[in-house]
Amino acid sequence: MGFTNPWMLSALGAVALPVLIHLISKRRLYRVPFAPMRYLLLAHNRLVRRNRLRQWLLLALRMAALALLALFIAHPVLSRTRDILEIARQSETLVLILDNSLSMGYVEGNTTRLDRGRKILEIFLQDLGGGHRIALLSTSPATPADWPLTLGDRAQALAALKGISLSNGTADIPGVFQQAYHLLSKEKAKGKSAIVVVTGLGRNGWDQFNPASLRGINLDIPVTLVDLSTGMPSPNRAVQSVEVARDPMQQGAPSQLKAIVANFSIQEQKAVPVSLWLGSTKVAEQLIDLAPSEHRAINFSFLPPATGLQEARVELGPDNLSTDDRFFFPLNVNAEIRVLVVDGNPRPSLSASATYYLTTALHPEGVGERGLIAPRVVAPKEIEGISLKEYGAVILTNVESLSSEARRSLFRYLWDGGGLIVFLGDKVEAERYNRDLFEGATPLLPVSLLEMKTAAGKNPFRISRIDVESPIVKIFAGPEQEALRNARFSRYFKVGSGRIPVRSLLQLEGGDPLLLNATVGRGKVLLFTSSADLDWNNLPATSVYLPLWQQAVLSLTGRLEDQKAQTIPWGAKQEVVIPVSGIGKEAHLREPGGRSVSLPVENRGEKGIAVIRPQGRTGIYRLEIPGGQETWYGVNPPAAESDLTPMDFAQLKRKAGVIPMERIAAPAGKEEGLLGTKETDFSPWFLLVLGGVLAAEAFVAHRN
Amino acid sequence: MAWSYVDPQLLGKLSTLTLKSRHSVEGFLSGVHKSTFKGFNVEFAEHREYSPGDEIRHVDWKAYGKSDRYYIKEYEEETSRRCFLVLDGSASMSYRGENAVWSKFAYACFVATSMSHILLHQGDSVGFTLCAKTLKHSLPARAGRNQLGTIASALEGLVPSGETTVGEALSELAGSLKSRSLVIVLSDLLEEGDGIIRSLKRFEFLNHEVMVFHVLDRDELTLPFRDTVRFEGLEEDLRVVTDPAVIRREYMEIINEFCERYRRACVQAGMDYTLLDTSVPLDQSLIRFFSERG
Repeated sequence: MGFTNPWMLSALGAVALPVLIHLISKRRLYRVPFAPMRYLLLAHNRLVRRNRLRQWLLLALRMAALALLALFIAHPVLSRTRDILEIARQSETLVLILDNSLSMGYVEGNTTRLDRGRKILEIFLQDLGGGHRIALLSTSPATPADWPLTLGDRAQALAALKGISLSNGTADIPGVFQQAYHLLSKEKAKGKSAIVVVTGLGRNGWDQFNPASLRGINLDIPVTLVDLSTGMPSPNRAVQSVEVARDPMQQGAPSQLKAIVANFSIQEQKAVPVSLWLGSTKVAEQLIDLAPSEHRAINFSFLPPATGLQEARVELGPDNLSTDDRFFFPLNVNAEIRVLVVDGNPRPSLSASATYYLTTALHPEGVGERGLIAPRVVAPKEIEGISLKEYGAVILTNVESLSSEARRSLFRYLWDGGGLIVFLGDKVEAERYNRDLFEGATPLLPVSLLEMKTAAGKNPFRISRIDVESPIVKIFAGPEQEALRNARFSRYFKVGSGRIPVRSLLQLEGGDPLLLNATVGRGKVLLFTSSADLDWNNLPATSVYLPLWQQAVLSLTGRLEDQKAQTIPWGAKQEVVIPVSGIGKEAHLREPGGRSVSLPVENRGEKGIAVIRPQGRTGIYRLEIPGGQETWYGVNPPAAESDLTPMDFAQLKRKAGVIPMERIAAPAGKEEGLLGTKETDFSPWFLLVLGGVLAAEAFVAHRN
Repeated sequence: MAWSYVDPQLLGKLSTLTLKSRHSVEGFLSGVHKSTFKGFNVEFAEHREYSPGDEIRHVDWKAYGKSDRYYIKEYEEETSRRCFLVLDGSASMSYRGENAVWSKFAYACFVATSMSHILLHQGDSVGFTLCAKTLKHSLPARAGRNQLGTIASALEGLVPSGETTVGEALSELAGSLKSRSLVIVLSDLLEEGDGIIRSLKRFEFLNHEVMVFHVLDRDELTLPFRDTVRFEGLEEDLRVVTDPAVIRREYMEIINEFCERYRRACVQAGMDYTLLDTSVPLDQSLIRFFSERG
């Protein structure tokens, strides 16, 4: 028997009150001089025996009433303190399961639930006598790779207990029970067995418990749950996900990002700081109020300060479960793409220039503003003096001819991985182009030019086919293609066969290509067989002009092929496609702490596959693929694990069916007494007995 | 002079009452009681022949006219009576309950003076005996208005004390009475043994008329005390701590049995027994007594 308010036991001293009152009142007795004393004495003596018994009974009842009242206030609980040990003593074989899921990191009284559970098991194992065969399992992951799944002695279990650390994932309840029954089935003939689970009984995890799915289940094995929860949903808030509006982002350009934060408590959370971090720099912060059980989208606007892949996170003000207060994600930020536009027909008026529409499409932000693409317009003769490698792409518009030096410079640039777009026009002569740019020592064009074709009368040429498989024009796979198809072309160059493989991305009616794509060396070339301005077509006046050429530039500069930033839940399995060249080699997954795990690249037909399953710290994981490319993953706790609502034991017991299952409450601060504190509240019984005693007292006191 | 135990108002209320003797009275003075002697009072008894010495005015001339012989008319004579008040002066009579105006002794004194007034008023002679072990006082029976003052003066300043000796006093009185008398006993009768009853029976044997006024306080009849009380004897060195609530029923049975024993004894001996509750106003008690007596 224990007491919730043991200090109230001092009130037991009140038991002496009736005696004291009796003694005090005896000292202050009311004296009455009386005449018929003999008759009074006669009556007194006749009743004295019966009365004395009654007086003693009254005294006893009053003392009992006071004692019961003190005990009731002290809140008596029957602590069957040796419950777990009793189970253990009766069992030769024991499987102890320690829940180490994320929710066990919840801090109560400066201690995590995991540490409390560990302490309970430590006490339990230390108190346990010898001769038991014990296995210690953890729930998350259910099967640690380096875990000896065998039964050992107490010392081994104690050593194993120290090795269990907090995970960032969900408890694999079916998995760990399967292991337990598997272990115990091997020991079936060796005596009684028991399973003891020390857990926070989080609904996320225990809701997967399904005895029907377990193999080798033994219905005679009792399951004892040591419940570390409070029985109520514990207050918690978490960052659940992050959505990046545009990936990659542009350095210096206004960028948006949306974070979903959740309040998993029944209380309102006021003035919660939410901040966005890039690396070690806080780039934005807000204070928000969260209503009970609210999931809210928080929008951040910021200017990415640096380029490249960056470790980003959205962070909430700390609470009792800190792991889910941060959401990690990689953020891809690019520098602006510099494009050199060579204007072959410069005009005094800017709008009359062939490059006017093009530069406007590539840099719609306007002069002086930062944008995704930064075009620079030059005359053909200026190419020789420009270091082309500083530019992501070079665009020739209606250039009549190029010097040999310029051609060599361009070819070298292209061969080294540069991008070239060639627009034709009235300055272009097919013969010269074929000679200088197709047949010569610096072949920049993938195909030869044939004759110029002009539309007759009011029957312009239109686009008849779009290669939506191509990354450049796949954006026109939807309704947007209608605008593209409606563009009118009055003149274009027919092209001949090519020396290298050429892909026709846009085709005009009659089958002549309008936009051709080819690879030269490590570079890429796009040939547009019409003009860049309104001279030969009305494309610059349509809504598709801007996305088409922005997409073209991004493609040439490799920006379209950039790996998108990804996030995956902790412990989730993800297959990563690796280029065929990587098959048979190893990929490397680098965890936030610096530890690197080698992953074999499997051959799955035409592609290689590396399987990653991050189970270390939460944060940014970097996958190094054979060949040098690196992919970043933001690894975060499963969103559902942040909901700390405990599983309803009655419901769990219904699911357990005939499995003998009992729950022992282990509230915070009661670890020492837990081995044992299967508490039964006896205060209502004390109250009932107190009522009975008071009724008896009233009956005896008023019965003369 | 004002006496403590004489209430003029009360006496005024009682002045029309008479206390006639249930027996014939041997007396020399004319009064309201029938005398055992025949004489010349108003109520005719018989005729006898004239003898020398008889007063001529008592000759029945009508009878002489009819018989021609001298007859003398004889009448029943109403005579006065000797009364003795026996007042208990023991310590137990000093008790006065919360509901009572007077102590038992004071109440008894008022009864004594009231009865004296009535008796004296109707021509009786009244004597008075105070009995207590340490307090004895007596006055011979005398008639006349002055006797009330004498009795009232004798009662003045008396404080009840000592053990009761009512039985002894009655016994002595019985031995001293020469003629039939009225003995009025005023006592709580709280005396050990049957001494009082034996003495009362002696009065009966001697043909005296006895009236017993059993004076008790309401507290003594009902034991109304609350909480645990230490009771201490007024006459004896007895004490007990008890809860009146517990013993009340038993006590009342015993005290009723005690009163009933005296009442029975008195009735059997042809005496008047009246229980006086001191919480009842005195005039009510006396009027009730007279009305019951008829």
